[in-house]
Amino acid sequence: MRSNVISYLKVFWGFKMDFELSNEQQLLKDSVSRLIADNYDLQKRGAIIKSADGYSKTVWKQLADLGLLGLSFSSNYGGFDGGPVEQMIVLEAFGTGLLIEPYLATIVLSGTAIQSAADENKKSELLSAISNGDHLMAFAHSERLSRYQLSQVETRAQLKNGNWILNGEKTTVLHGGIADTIIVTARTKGSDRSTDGISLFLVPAKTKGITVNSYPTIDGMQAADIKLSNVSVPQNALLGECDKGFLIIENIEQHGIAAVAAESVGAMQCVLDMTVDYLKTRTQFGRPIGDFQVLQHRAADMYVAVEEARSIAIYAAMMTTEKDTEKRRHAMATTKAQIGVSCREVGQGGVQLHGGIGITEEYAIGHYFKRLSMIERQFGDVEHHMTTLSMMDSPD
Amino acid sequence: MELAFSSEEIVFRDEIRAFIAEKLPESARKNGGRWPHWSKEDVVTWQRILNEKGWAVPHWPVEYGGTNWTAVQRYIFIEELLRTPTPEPLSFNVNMVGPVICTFGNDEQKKYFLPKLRNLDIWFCQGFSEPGAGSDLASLKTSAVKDGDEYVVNGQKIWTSQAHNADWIFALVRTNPNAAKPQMGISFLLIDMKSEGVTVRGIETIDESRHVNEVFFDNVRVPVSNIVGEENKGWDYAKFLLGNERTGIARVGLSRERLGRAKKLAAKLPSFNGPLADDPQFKRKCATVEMQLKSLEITIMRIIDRQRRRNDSAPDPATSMLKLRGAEIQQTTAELLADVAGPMVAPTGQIRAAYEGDFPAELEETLGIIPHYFNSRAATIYGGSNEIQRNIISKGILGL
Amino acid sequence: MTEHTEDYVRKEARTWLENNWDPNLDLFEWRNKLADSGWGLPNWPSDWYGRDLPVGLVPIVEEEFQRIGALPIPKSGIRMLAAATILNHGTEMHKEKFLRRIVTGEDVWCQLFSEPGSGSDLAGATTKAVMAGNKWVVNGQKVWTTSAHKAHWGLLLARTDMDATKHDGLSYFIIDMKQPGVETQPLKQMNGYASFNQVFLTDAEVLPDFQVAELGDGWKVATTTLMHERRAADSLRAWGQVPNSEGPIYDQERAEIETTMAPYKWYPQRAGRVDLIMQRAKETGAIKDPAVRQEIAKLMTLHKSAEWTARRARSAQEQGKPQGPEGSLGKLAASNVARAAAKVHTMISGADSMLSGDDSPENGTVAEVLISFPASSIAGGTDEIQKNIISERVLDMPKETRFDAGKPFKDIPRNTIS
Repeated sequence: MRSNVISYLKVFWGFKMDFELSNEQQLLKDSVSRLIADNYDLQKRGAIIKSADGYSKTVWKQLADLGLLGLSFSSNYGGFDGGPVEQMIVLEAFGTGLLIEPYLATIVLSGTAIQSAADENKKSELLSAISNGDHLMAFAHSERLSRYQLSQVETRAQLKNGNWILNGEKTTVLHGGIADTIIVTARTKGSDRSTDGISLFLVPAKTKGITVNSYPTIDGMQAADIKLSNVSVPQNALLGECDKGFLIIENIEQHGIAAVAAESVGAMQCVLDMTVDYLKTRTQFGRPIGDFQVLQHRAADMYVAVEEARSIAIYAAMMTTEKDTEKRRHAMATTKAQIGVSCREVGQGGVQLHGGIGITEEYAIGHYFKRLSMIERQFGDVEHHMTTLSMMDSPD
Repeated sequence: MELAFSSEEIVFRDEIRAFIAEKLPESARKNGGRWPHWSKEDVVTWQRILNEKGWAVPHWPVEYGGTNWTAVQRYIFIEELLRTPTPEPLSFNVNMVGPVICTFGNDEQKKYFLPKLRNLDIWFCQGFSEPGAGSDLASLKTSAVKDGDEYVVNGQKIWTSQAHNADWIFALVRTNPNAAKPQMGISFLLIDMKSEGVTVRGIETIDESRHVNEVFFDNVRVPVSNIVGEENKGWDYAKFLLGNERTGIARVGLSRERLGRAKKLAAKLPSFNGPLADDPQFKRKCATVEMQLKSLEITIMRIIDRQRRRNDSAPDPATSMLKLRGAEIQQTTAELLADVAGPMVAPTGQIRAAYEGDFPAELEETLGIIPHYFNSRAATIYGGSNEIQRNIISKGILGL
Repeated sequence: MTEHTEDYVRKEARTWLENNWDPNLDLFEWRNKLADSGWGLPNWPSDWYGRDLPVGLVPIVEEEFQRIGALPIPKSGIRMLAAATILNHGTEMHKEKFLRRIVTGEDVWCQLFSEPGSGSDLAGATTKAVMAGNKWVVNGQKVWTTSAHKAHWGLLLARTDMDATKHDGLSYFIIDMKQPGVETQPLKQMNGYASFNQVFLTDAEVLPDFQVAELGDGWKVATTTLMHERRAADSLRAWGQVPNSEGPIYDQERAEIETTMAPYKWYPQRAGRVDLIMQRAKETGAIKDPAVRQEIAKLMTLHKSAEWTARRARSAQEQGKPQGPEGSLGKLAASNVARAAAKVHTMISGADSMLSGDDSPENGTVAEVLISFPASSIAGGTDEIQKNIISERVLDMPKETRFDAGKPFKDIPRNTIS
């Protein structure tokens, strides 16, 4: 499974990349796709959604066994040194099957937090634990009225007698109900909107004072509202430098953006394929409705939107490792803006072209539409990122 | 021509508002902001309150319970209901089958059905679409074969809203399979849902509610006297139904109500500098929708005015424009509201249970938003998709 | 064998340029050097003035040209489409005769495809070529012909068989434009340019050797030309920036742009001049307006997606995949970018954007953008035609109902103009 990232890289303008997959990457793609095809038809997925945990332990174990959970972590911590392209391949396949397992929460968001901020001991402990599927994590950052403002943190942490005491409420924490460890962001100094003074804490889910209300989300995943009442954790629960958590949070979000970008491309391609297929088979007025030019052109618009999303998802994957903070910030805002636009065009177009069956639970298209609608709003919507971009100078 | 409401019309509007404020039951008021929306009881109770006041069917002829209001007054009335919001008088009864019976029904049908339709003693649903006949409605296959003084009905309808709540269904059925054109062999038949052989199966939709169904007819026997108008003329009545009093179809009030809610919610949420409500981009979006609603509203007034001066009952292709733009703006406002709520749209209704009776009231406010958005996607599909409306405009108005 | 790595190519190009570039050279002398060495169009075949370089490495060479200030081969205009068509379908004679003079810029080319009655429906061309004695005699009218009045050679699509079906009755020729049977008339555009002409062909002659591909293959060859045109729509954005450096060779290049290449001068404006946006926004202070900034952000996002889509297409080309319908994707993206850019230019410049002359923004360039950008969604196949191509050839949707399929051309309804 270990990929030699360097081998496939070719020179391409200022960037190093190639749009064709290496043999190893193709192998990776095939094996994830097979796993999804075997485990993720609409019915099986429906059963997983309704199960007690809201995800499949079997599938999770399979992902671990295939090495997908530790794919992008360093081999020093039991990972496989995979690069952004490998990550993109995996997430695109997840998007194809609308996978609802806690990959984003545990691997992408929490994994990024650990990789970028934890000390060596915690890295080797937690990264290997989440890689082999034994340990689930969640990233508890958003609060009821924070919307997309990353620095809006009202949850407080105070150091008392050598322990951190956490108080506050976190909302819609992705997979917060099944996590073993929760990364909680809290204000250690400053006002509610200041970027300075936010810190991250590793909090075992079973810690006294934590109330978790867990529920399914509109796209079939799970989220939780988490209340912290005088939750006490030891001083070494602090993740990264005290008060300097904002950059870590931003980095987590950026990895999240690249991940959902890739995932959305997989989902959008499915919507496009299903829609084109439907247009060819559904007949009205004595001919396939795909005969009607107005429907053909809408499908062509959807195709353009998918391809734009694919281009920008590749760009995002390349830019996750960009060292220049401003460039990376700009790239990720550009990415999420384009992804949001495409998700809407493709999701709404798919539903419209399917007609009534597009909004039923019985047909797959509606489920894709729901996930795409959620991705639009994850890590900032189009307007949010357009505004972010409009306040920056383009680094190009 | 006048584009602003006259002072009499403003007085009229205030009268409606005052009535709603006084009479709308608490349960309907509360459920208006929730998802799923009003219960069957809310709808029935409110329509009966309106009927008692004489307002259930303002646009019907006075002898059948109409109010003799001007078209503008009727517009004001329905928009006030939508923007409050209150339950709407059941469209199947008051806008669809009612006017068809008023215009084409026989005296017996009028006497039996009209009072019950007004008071919602009978709840009708509409049996038009079939699995193979959506946009191409005239290709419908549900058959009604005469056997003595009964029709024997066989077939299947789909996307039948409210069939699970309905007492009766008005259905388009094929009575002459050998007609020269498919449109010429269709009849308009009233069927009691309690008849033997009628089966209703709910279709789960992505907005977490049940409102559409499949209806199956298996050798259902229907008295011949339940046909409206003449046999094989059903297509004309259906066209009348779709073109009749469709000025309410744009649902401007509904869009206004959503826009108002979006602004209120935006005032509580942060943007980059201060609340989202003050964000220039958000304000621009609201202004755009307001502009669109104003254009639509004035267009409705113009079409009402024109229809007032015409005396035929031929369908007006201009109503296609209202359906088209109305549906698009409904989608825009549903989208705007969902965009304001942003990540807060994530929870399903099951979050109520997760809190085990301790559910914070302020969360209720955002719960219905995404189902409304999902549901709004159907607005450009049902009742003739936007593609079909554009065809009607290009053929019926532009002569292409 | 040449090694194709960034470092190697860069070193090789740099060495060659350092040894050969001289701003005191005559422009054509310099271009002949480029033709002989292959550095002018390095991705062309090494047998024909190129170096077989992967397309992806061309930018490395371009960077080296820029670094030293050397003048590249102008990669725009119909002559490049002619070159692509000839490389793909031409005979050895065509290659011998035309390619070098394309590289040196000595010949001007035009494309005789569109007719008054066949715009989006190019295959409906009615211009006829009839074999009389030992040559083709051509009669008909062409329109929207860029540079026809300056052109030496034309790429001609003409009907050679009225009994064949619409697409099968067309053949492809190279026609000498400097002959008595060819008459050109300029068309004045709303942006003030007259880049286009009407061309009247009255008993114009073409030698049999100047037929491209087989008789009846005209549509297939024209498709190659068009796909290159679509792809080129994307690269025209940056064209037309005359180097400011001093020296006779630069003067010569500037003169060429003013004369033979003049019809293409507004092409960058047509593409929206995204390059001017930030500078204009800052100069005018419009950058402080959040609404303007928001629109700029939208434009840049579109631009970025288009850029990366183009990169993917180039990469596919580099992998040896044939020129495919993905050109339509790039062309659609380019017209979206142009539209968005025109909107932003208007927001930045306000009413001033309508001015031309000395007081106008960027010497009238902004005004030119506003009256030129609509052409980007029309020329080279409208947006609607691109969507047809995508739905039929990429998504494999049912072909539009055709009233002309399978019937001889003489029996099908003609396109009319009124």
